[in-house]
Amino acid sequence: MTRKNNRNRCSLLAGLGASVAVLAFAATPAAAQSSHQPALQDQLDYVAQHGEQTGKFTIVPLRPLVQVRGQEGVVTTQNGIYVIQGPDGNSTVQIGPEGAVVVDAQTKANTPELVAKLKGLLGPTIIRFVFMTNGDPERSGGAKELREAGKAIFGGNMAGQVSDLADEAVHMSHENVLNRLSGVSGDPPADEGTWPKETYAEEEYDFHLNDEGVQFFHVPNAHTDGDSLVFFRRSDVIVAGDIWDTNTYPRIDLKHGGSINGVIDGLNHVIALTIPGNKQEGGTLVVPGRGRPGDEAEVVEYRDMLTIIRDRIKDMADKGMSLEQIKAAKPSYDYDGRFGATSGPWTTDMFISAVYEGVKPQRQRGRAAR
Amino acid sequence: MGVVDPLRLVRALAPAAAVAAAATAALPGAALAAVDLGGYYAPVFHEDQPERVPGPDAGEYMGLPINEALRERAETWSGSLLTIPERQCVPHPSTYGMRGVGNLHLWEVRDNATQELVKYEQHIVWEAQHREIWMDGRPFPPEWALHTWQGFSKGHWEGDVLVVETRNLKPGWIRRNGLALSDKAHMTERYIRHGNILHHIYMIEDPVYLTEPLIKTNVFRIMDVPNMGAYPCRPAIEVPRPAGSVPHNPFHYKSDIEEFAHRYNLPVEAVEGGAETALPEYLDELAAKKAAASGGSSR
Repeated sequence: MTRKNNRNRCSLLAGLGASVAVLAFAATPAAAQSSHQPALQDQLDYVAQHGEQTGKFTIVPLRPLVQVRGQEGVVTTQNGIYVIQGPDGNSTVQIGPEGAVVVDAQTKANTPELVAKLKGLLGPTIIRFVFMTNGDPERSGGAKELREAGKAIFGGNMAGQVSDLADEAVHMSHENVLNRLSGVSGDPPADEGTWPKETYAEEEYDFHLNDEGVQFFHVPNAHTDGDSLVFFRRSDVIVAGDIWDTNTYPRIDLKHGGSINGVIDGLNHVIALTIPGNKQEGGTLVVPGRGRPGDEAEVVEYRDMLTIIRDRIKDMADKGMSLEQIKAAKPSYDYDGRFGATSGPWTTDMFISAVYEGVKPQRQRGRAAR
Repeated sequence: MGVVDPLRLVRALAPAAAVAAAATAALPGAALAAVDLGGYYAPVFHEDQPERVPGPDAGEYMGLPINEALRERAETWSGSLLTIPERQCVPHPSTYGMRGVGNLHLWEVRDNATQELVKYEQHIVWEAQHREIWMDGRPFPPEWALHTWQGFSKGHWEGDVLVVETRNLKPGWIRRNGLALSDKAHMTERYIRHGNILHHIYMIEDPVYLTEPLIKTNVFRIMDVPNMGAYPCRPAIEVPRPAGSVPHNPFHYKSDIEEFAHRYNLPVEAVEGGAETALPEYLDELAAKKAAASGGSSR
C-alpha cells in the first residue's frame, strides 16, 4: 500500500549504494487514482520514508537518482541530488553516470564520518569534483580528505605523466577563497590541503558533467567576498551556500568582505534563477548553507525579512542613531523569535552590528576609518 | 466579530469528545471510516463573514492570541506585497484555506486491492489548494524535510470525528492582513459531518507568534450540483519596480490600527489583539479602564 512496497515497479539499478534507491513518484495505487498529485507533497512523503539520519549526519534526497535498465543498457533518467546535513552545515552531492560532485566539505573534525557517509551513499560512484561555496572552515575543513577520496577524469597528452592530478578529484572555488586560505589576503594561511587547486575569477563559471550543466555564480561581498551559488541546471537545484540559513540570520563575515547588501543581492540572484512549480511550490529547489532545503517561496520569505530589517536599520542610521541606540530599538524584534539568538556563534546582536556596518552613512564610515 | 472563545468551545466539545472516544473503543479497527465525509461542499459564511468576504481590514487583530512580535510584523506588512510576482500565485496554506473562499471537494482514496482507506484528499478551488490527509499511519516527515503550503497531514477517527494533525508547514498566515505564522506552527483539526453540513474546527499553535492556541470553526454545506473549476495562475508585472523591491510599512507603523479603530469607534488597545481580547470579560476590563481614565464609575 505504501510507496515503499511498490518500488519494484521501476527497474532498480543495483550497485549504487544502498541509500541510492530508485524512485517512482507515481507508483502507489493510491497516488495513481489522483489526477493532480502535488509533486512537492509527494516528494515530502518520499523524504519521510527514505531520508536517513544516523550519527552526526542526515541524508536528505532532493532528486533521487533514477536509472532504468533497458535493451541498450542502463540509462540515467535523473541525476541524484542529495543533501548531507551535518552539525556545521550542509554538503550537497550530485550523482550521475560519470561520477559525483560534492559541494562543501564541512569541518575537518567531522571529515571521517562524512567520508564514510559519502561512501555509503555513492557506492562505486567516484567523486570527480569537490567545490567550496566559501572559505570557512565549515566549508573547506575536510576538502583534502574528500578530494583524496575521489579521482578526476584526466587524460590527453599528460596521461600517465602527471599522475597526482588523476589520483584525486578536482578541487575548486572562487579565487577569493584561495586568496583567503593561502594567506594572500592577509589571514594566516590555512592548512594547505584546504586550498582549492582550481579557481574561477569571473562572475560565472560552468562545466558539463553527468549530462548536466553545472553553473557557478560569484556572489560578491555577501557572507564573505568569496561566495558562490552552484546551479545544477537539469536537476533544477541551487546550492545557496551561507547567504541562506533556515536556522538563523545570515552570518555576515565583515572581516572577510561580507555585507548585508551582498547577501540580499545574492538572494535576489537565487530568486531570479529559480522557477517555482505550480502555485509557487516546488520547481527549483534551494539548499541553504545550514538548515533544511526549500523552494523559491521560502527564499523570498527570507529575502523579504532581511530587506525589511536592513531598511529599518538604514533608516535609523540615516537619522543619526548610534549602533547602540539602534540595538536598543530592536529592529529585528518581530523575527527574533524565529531567527534570533542571544548566545552561540552568531547572535542577534552580532547580526545587527554587521547590518549596521553595511548601511551606516558615509560620514560615520569615515569616522570609523580614522 | 464572531470570535470563538477557546474555553467555551472546549467545554462545549467535551461531551462530544467523550462519546467519540467511547465509540472508537467499540470499533474493531480505528482506521475504519466512521462516516463518509466525501462530497462537494460550499462554504457558509455566517461566521466571521466580514473577515472572510470581502476580507479583514488592515490593522484588525482583535480577538486573536497574537504576541507583540506578530503585531509588529503585521504592522510592517503592506498589501502591496501581494503584487510582487513571487507572491501572486501563492495559495492559502492549510492553516487558512478552509476559512477563505472557494468550494471544497473532499474524497476518499482507497487501496484498490484491500479497500482500506489510504487517505483523504481535498481540493479548494481558490488557487487550487490541494491537500492529502494520510490515514494509513505513515510517520510524519522529520523537521528537516521539505515544508509545503498545505503541510503533511495525518488523520484518525475518534468516533464519527475525523481528527487531523498537520506539520511541516511553510511560513503562512492566520489572517490575510499580515498576521503571519512561522514554519514552526502546527495544526489540529476536527471534521464533523451532520447530514449535509460539514463542521470544521481547527486549532493552530505557533511557539513563535501565538501566545495561546488559536481555535476557530468553519461550516460547509453540501452542493447538489458539483461546482469545481481549475484555477490557473501565472504571475505578471502588476507594478513596475526595481528588482528585489519589497513593499513594506515603516517600523512601528500604527496608521492601519488607528484607522481601523477610528472607523469602528473601538479602543486602539482592543484592536491590537492579544489572547485577552477574545474573552467576554475583556469588555468589563475596558470599561473599567475607561472609567478610571475619566475618573468615574465603570457602570
